[in-house]
Formats: sequence, structure tokens, C-alpha cells
Amino acid sequence: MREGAPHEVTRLLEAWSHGDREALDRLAPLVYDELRRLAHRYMSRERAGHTLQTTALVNEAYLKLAGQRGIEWENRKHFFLVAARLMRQILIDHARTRRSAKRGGGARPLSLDETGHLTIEQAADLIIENRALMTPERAADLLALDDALAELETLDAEKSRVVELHHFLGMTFDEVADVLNVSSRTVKRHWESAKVWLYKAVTGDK
Amino acid sequence: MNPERWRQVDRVLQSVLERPPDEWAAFLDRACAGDEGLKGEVRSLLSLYDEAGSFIDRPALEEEAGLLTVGQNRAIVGEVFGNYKVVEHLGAGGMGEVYLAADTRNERRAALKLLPPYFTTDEQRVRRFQQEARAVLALNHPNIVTIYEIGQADAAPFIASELIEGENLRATLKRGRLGIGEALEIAIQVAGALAYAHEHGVVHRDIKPENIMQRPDGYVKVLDFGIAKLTERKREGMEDSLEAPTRAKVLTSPGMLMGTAHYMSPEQARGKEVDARTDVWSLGVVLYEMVTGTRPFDGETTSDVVSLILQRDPLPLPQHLPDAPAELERIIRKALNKSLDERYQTAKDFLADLKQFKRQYEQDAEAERLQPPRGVTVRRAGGGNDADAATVVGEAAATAGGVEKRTASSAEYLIGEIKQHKKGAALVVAVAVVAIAALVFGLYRLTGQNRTPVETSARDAAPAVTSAPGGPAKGIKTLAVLPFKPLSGKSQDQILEIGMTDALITKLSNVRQIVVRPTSAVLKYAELAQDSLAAGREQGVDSVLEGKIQKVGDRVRVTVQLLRVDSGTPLWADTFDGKFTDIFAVQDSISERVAAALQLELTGEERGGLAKRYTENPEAYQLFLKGRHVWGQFTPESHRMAIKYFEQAIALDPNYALAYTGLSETYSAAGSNSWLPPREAMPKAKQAALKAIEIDDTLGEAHTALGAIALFYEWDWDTAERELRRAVILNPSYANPHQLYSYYLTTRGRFDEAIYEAEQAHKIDPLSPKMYGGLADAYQNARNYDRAIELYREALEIDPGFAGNHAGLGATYEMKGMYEEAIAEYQRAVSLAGRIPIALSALGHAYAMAGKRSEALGILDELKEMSRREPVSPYDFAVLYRGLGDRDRMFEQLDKAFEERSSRLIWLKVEPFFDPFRSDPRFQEMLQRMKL
Repeated sequence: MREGAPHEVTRLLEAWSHGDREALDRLAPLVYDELRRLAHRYMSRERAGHTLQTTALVNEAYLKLAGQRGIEWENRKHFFLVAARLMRQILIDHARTRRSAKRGGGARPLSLDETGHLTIEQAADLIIENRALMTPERAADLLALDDALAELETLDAEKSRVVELHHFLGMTFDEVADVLNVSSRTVKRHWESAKVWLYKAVTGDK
Repeated sequence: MNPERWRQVDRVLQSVLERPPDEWAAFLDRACAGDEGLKGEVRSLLSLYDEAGSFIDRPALEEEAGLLTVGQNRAIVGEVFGNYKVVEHLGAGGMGEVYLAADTRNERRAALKLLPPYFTTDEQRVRRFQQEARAVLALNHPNIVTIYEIGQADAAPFIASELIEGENLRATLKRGRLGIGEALEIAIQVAGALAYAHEHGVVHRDIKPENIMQRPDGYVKVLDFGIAKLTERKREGMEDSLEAPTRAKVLTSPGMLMGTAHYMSPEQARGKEVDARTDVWSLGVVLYEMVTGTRPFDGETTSDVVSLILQRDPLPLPQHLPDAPAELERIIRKALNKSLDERYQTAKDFLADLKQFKRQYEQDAEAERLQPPRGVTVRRAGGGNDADAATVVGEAAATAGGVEKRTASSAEYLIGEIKQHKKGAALVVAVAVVAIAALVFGLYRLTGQNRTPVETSARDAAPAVTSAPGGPAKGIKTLAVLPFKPLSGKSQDQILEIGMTDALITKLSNVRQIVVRPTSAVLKYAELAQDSLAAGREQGVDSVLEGKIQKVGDRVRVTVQLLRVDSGTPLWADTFDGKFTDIFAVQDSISERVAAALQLELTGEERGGLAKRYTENPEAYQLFLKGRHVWGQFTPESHRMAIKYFEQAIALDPNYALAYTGLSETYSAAGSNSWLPPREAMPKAKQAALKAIEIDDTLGEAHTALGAIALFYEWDWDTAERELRRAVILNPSYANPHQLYSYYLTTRGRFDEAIYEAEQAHKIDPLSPKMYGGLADAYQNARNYDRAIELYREALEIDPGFAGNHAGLGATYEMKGMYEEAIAEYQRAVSLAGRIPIALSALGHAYAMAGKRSEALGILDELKEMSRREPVSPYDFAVLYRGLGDRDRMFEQLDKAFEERSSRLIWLKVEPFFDPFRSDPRFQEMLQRMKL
């Protein structure tokens, strides 16, 4: 965590929820680092066999950033929306780096485990260090998804929020429903519809 | 599209998705009420619904790490799937999460893979999944990872398979490209796996380096056969009402981390139906990547890759590898031909070319190495196709004389046998239905013990190594002689290698103090590089004998090593150099020294056995081997030929006891299969067996043959017991006489003894599905059904493709009243063995018992129809009538079976299925007629 007292986070969230776009920009770096750290722990604890929910982790981040006192539920919900947006941004930044890097260029050779995948520690480190984890294809696929999601946002902002919360932040439908103040069933319907729309957008002939 | 229009589209789309798919089209018509534009929009989204599948369902961060932490698919340590308990998470595999698991029954370690969940509500899908799973389970090949179980826990399908310790090809390739020889070796093993799977109707669909594992001992194992198909998401009925998706399914699979699009065939990329030729393509891509270190179709995004696959030819090999052989280029181009018709049509063809090229390549490399650097013409690979094994053998034989030819023929017979093995196994479906079948005479040669004594010369062995009592060889009771390998990596002369192996096994089997695994059990290690100690452990032996052999001109060099399996300690090692004509002296010498190193005190008789010769006449010997070879093909025509060869051998050497045994077995098989009328064939079989015994009363095979005739045909119980006991004593290391004796004891109701003998057979050849099944049969007849079920299942884990054990398991379920399970097992047996009467009648019986009368009657009709074209045993009709409760017709058919002397009647007294009929006077009369 950089500087920024708990009340600062609360204040920014409030401002953002009242339509202050700049507040988000100032909020981002505070949350961003914490989320990265979370990503690391998320992976390493997995190794030890713990079941960790992203939501729990984000909650933890919020507590850390906003402080124990004076937590208002509305703010916490906003915090989730911010976290989801930032998770998306972390991955997209990562994808941009990967796309611009030619295969092999800059990426140091990695040893793989016997299933042909990165070990969990490696994966976590790479996410933290923002280094070569994605294949260029995966990076391109993600960037395509990001573009499509931006387009969806102009058509149907609610759906793009569902996608951010469920796909990028990893929340369950119930949790998403809670944050958005709608029923789970509605979230599920939004999801199915958004998914097929996005699929069409990213695979469609352009 | 504007937000307004999207809201309309979205509303209709969401409503449609809430309905079952078969109502979609009709609902869409109603909902759009003539707004064709709206309908078009929704349809175009709906048509992608299935294809979109689980696209982005998995949280992005987990996708990145290849983890699945929050999904519904996550296994927790200690959780049980089918028979497997999760021990720890291993990582993400190509298709899902992989865990280390332990079999709850025997603690065996396994890899457990959880697949993405699919919709279990769709009954048709579930059935299709199960069908596919059966086909995959039935695969049994050294280069295919063995699948133990495919099942479903809640909505999540799981697969438990052999745990492979090694490195996958992706990891190997990360270190750089491979040498051509190494790449060919891998490609050949993969192609072998593909050829086998394709023959069994399974297409892999996802060949890529991630799915190819290399064990440290050189075995290549292909993972995830057919799994792509199992997890495919496609809904029937969609194609009719909506446009079929033709887009590449590149974004749908959750395991896309490594970018599998590179290995897709053009037809796959187009979303079309795929067949075996898709696997050929993918292996072509892998081969290209192995030798060049570069993927033939590569691009920045998935769609770039796909468009290259569809439109471009890969760069010629020399662009990456200036010295690339032209033949390799040709082979790869043929595999990577975009036109299905121009590509290799089968993996087998691809394999043949790869093997041929590898031989050439190695010969050229060897020639280059041996020749002085200048002024030499080196044959280029692919320049000529005449240097195949047959020619090599021919040349060698011409230079080395008859001795080589004999050895070669022996091995040829055995190689023929390897190829025949599966066919035999399929036929054996019969065996377990009522514990054994009419085919048994023939089958035990195919699936059980195979002995082809190789000519031995009676030279004195070199002085044996002596070691102190209680030394390193202490406690060794079992031995496996592993197939000999070439001394250097170059061209394998399998005929020589297996001939050597079989000769040593035959000799050492004469020694009572050790149990030697039969040739049939070790043949599977022939094709590949082996880890001798691992093979020894797999065979459950204390010691292994491994060796290398190479023939150069008329000289031969043999190296051998005897190892303790538990510690890996060498007990003895030696090298033999000599003229090729001395090969038999070398064999004598090795077997004597092995006995000495194991500190066995041999009796005079055993010493004689080590150097036993069956004929002095080389020509007769060759005819005998030819007879055995065609015998192994197991067709009426091949058996007519076999009879001819054996008779010719006997004409040259009238004292050739083994040839009489061959003749006896051929007539027995012909009689049992109705290729000849039993009443004509069986007396001839008996006569030949008696003649063999007259010549050599110590010949176990002859007593086995005579005992089998007495048991299955003559129903002469005393003779059967006497002869089979004798055979067991004479050849303690042969599993087959033990098994036949066990059958005999069962028919007499002596169940404890029967189980004991079946255990002996199983101990001698623990990996043989037939011996395993025989043990299960013994428990089944003793009415210990639960133990029988356990054993059949264990046997099926070793070889899921052995139809007889599916049938045996089915029968046992039936005896327990578990009809649905029984039907499923019989269906597996039918799908493995084909629609042969013995399997069909069993299935029909189970249908009838389960109350599915019309299915049972359908099978009755099928058998009746079949009987117009080929012999169908009345016993099979009796089985069906028994199930249908048609008592009169059943007895009528049993009478006919008696007239034909059907071997299956011998279980009449003990078989549980006949319990409801025992009080019927006709049944009692039947037993009396059979002296049971």
C-alpha cells in the first residue's frame, strides 16, 4: 500500500459513486498494488490446499485500504466495482505488453512442470512482476475481449459490469447480484446473453 | 446496432435461452412476430450459443495461472471420485485440472482429471458420452496412457488414468529442437498409438506436444485419447433450425492457455466433422516442430494461425534446417496436405513411412560414420525402398546359412502372434460367459502361454559363475527374460531379438525352482526402449535378464545382464562374441549361467531341459515354425495350412513330438470351431497327442493337449484329471495347464482346489487378462460373486479390451440380479468381440432376465438368421430360451448341444444359471448322460 489514509479511499469511492470520473483515476493506484499482492497470495495459498474466494480477498483488500471503521456497505459495493475494473485493467495492460513483445523477445525461458504448465509460484510471480506469462495468442484474445466489452458497455452498461465482476473479478452470480442489487436469476440471464454477444464480437469476421 | 435495438434483441434472446432447445425455433417465430430483421439478429446469436460454450466462464485470473480455484469443478483433497480419492493437486492439464489420486481399493496411484462440466440433463448427451467413454476405455497400447475409469461425480465427468512420470514434449521442445533420429522415434511411437486407436474407432482430435509424454525409459505415452470428443459441446437438433456454426472453436475450450490452435487440421478449424486424418495432420505439425523447433503455422493471434492453416503451405524444411533429408520433407508434406484425399489416409501408412525412413536414416548415418570421409557415395534417405527387414534377413540368411533362418522363422511366428493377440482376445468373449467356451482349445494358444522351442545345441556351457550361499541372489524365485535389444541404436532385427528371448525363456522354464514369465507376458516390452527394473516390477518378479544382441556379417555379439529387481544389483553380466552359427551354444551357455548365478541346484533332468532339443532335422524344424506361424492366424484356411506343415515336418522327422502336439492342437481348434466336424477332427487330435506322448512322455504340451480333449470333448473325467495333473507337474512354469486343471476341478464341484489352481496360473502370468479372468471364473462358479466381481474389474484394469472378462463380469452381475449392470458389460463385450453368437446369447439372456423381452427376442431372431449362414451352437439357443423361460425349447437345444458334444455343457452341474431347472427330470437325465 502506498500512502493514502483509509478515509482517502472512502472519500474517493464516494466521489466516484457520485459520478466523479477522476476519483477513479486516483483510486486506481491504491487498489492496484493491493490487488497484485492479493493475486500472489491467491496463488500461493492455493498450493497449500486452501480454498480462497476472490471475493474474500477483495474484501480483505478493502478492509486494509478503507480501514475497519466507518465501513459503509454502499462503499464496499463500489469498491468491488472498482476492483473488477482494475483487475480487467491489470490483465489488459499485461496483454498489451505481451502483444508488443515478439515471441521469445525479452521473455526468459521458463521451466514447465510435467503437465506442461507453469508452476503456481512462477505464475504468481509473473503476474506480480507483469512479465511474460501469456502467450501472444492469449494476449490477442484478451485484447479482443476488452474491445468487445467496451463496445458492449455503450450498448448495455449493466451487462458489462456483470462481465467485469464475474469474469475479471471472479465473483459468483449471487455475489454479483448483491453488488448490483438485482436477483441472481437476472444476473445469470445477463451473463448468458452478454457471453454470446461477446463471443460473436470477438470471433466475428471483421 | 443501437442500445434500443439491442434491448429488443436481448429480451428475445434471453427468453429463448430459458426454453429447451427443441422449442427455440418455434418460440423465435412467435416472439419476433414477422420482424425478420430482429429474428435474424437473434438467430445469429443463438447459432453461436453452443459454440460459445464455457467461453469466459472461468475467471480471467485463474485462466492466466492455469488454475481453477473457484470453479464448480474443483476437487478437494480427500474427495472421492468413483474409486479414486484425491491426494493432491498436480496442475492444469490440456483439458482440465489434474490431481494425484489413490485407488481406494488398492492404494494404487493414479492421475485424476476433472473435465469441464457438461449438461447432464440431456439424456442423449450422457448416453453418447458413455458410449465414447467405452471406446476410450477399451484402448490398450503401450504408447497410450491407460485409462482406469471414466465416470461422473455430480455433473462433473472425471477420468482416472495411469500416472506417468516423465516430461511432456512441450517441456522438451522448450529446450530447443530435437535431432532427427529422436524426433522420428517419438513420432513413430505416437503414430503407433494413433494407428491402434483408429483401428478401434477412436480419434484423438487433440494431438499436441502437451499431450505427448516421454518417460525416462524412452517410452512415449499419448494422453487424453478421445477426450476432446467426450467434452465437445454440441446440441443435437440445432443444425436443423439454425445455421450450423462453421467457425473455429478456438475460444471455447478452457484449456487454451498454450494456444492449441496451432495443431488443428484445416477441417477442424472449419468446424467440420473430423476423422483419423485429423490426427495425421496434427502429428505432422508436431513432427515439423520437433525437427525445426518452429511451428509450421504460427501467428500473432488465434485467427492469424487459423488463416495460415487454411491457406498457406508451411515453409519447406530446409529453410529451417539446411540438411533436412528430402524424404522427411516429403513425409511431412504428405501429412500436412490440406486436401483430405491427398494426406496419409491412415496413421498406419504414416507410421510405415516413418519407420522406413528411420531405418534409412540410421543406415545412412552409420555408413557415413564408417566410411572414410572422401570419395564415398552415401545413399540418401528415401533413395531406395528395398532395404526393409525382409531383405536384410534374407541376406543374412544367405551368408550365415540355415541356422539364421530357423531363428528368424521362430521370431516371425512370435511377431505374428503379437499381431494376433488382440484378435484372439476378442474371440475369447466366449470364455467367461460360462467360464469357458468351445473355442478354448485354440484360444489358449493365442492369449495364454506360447511356446516355440528354438533349436538348441547340446554344447557344454562355459563354467558358471559361483557365488557363496546366501549371497546376492538369495530369495530369488521369479525371473522375467526381457526382449533383447540391439547393441547400438541402429536397425532393429526384431526377429533375431525375440527369437533369442523366446529360446532362453523356453530353456529356463524347465527349471522348477524359479518361475519364469512366459514369452506372451514379456513380448510387450519388445518394441520400445525399456526400463528393465520397471518392467520387472510390473511383472512382479525378483529378477530380470536383459540383453543386447547384434549381428554383423557372420559374427554375432551378445551382452547379457541379470539384475535383482528390488535393489537393482547386477548378479551376473557377460559378453559373448562368436560366429553366428554358434548362437545356440550361446543360448545354452547363458541359460546355464543364469541358473548358476541364481544358485539353483539343478537336477539332471533340469540340466537336460536347459539343453533340450526337439528335433535334429533343421528342415523339419523350419516347417514346424511355419506351421506355428500360420496356426497363429487362426482362420480355417490357415489351419488347413498348419496341418500341412506339421504333417510335412513329421514326414521328415517321424519322432518330432512337438510337431505332433501342433497337429493335435490344430485339429482340436478346428473341431471346436466347427471348421471340421468335431466327430472327425477330435479323434485325429487325440491320435496325434497320443503319438507325441509315445515319443516323449515328458512333453508337457502333449499331456495338456490330451487332457483338454478329454475334458472338453470326450467328457472322460478321469483321463482329463490324470493328464492335466501330469502337465502341471511337467511344466510348472506354464500357466495354461494350471488353468485347464482349474476348469476341470470346477466342473467337478471341487471349488477350493479350482481356486488354488487358478491362483497358480495367475501367479505365473500375473498380467495376463485370461489368467486373471480364470481366477475370477473360479470364484464365480464357487458362488463367491463379490470376490469374482472384484477380480474381473482388476483384470479389466489391466486390459479393458479383453472381451471375455467383460462377459464374465456381466454374467456375475446377472447372477446377483444386477441386470442393468450385466447388460452394460455384455454390450461392451459385444462391441469388442463383434456380434458373435456366444456374446449375443449372453446379452439376450440378460435382456430377458431384465424383462426386456423384445430386445431378447430380437437377438433370438438375429441368431436364427445367422445360423442360416454359419454354424451357431445349439447351446447359444439354449441360453436364450433359458432366459426367456421357455423350458421345453431349452431342453430341446441342450439335447442338440449334447449330440454335437458342445464343450460348454461340462459346466452344467455347477452353473448357477441352471438352478431353477435342477429339479426337472430332464435336467437330471442330462447330468447322468454326461456322467457329471
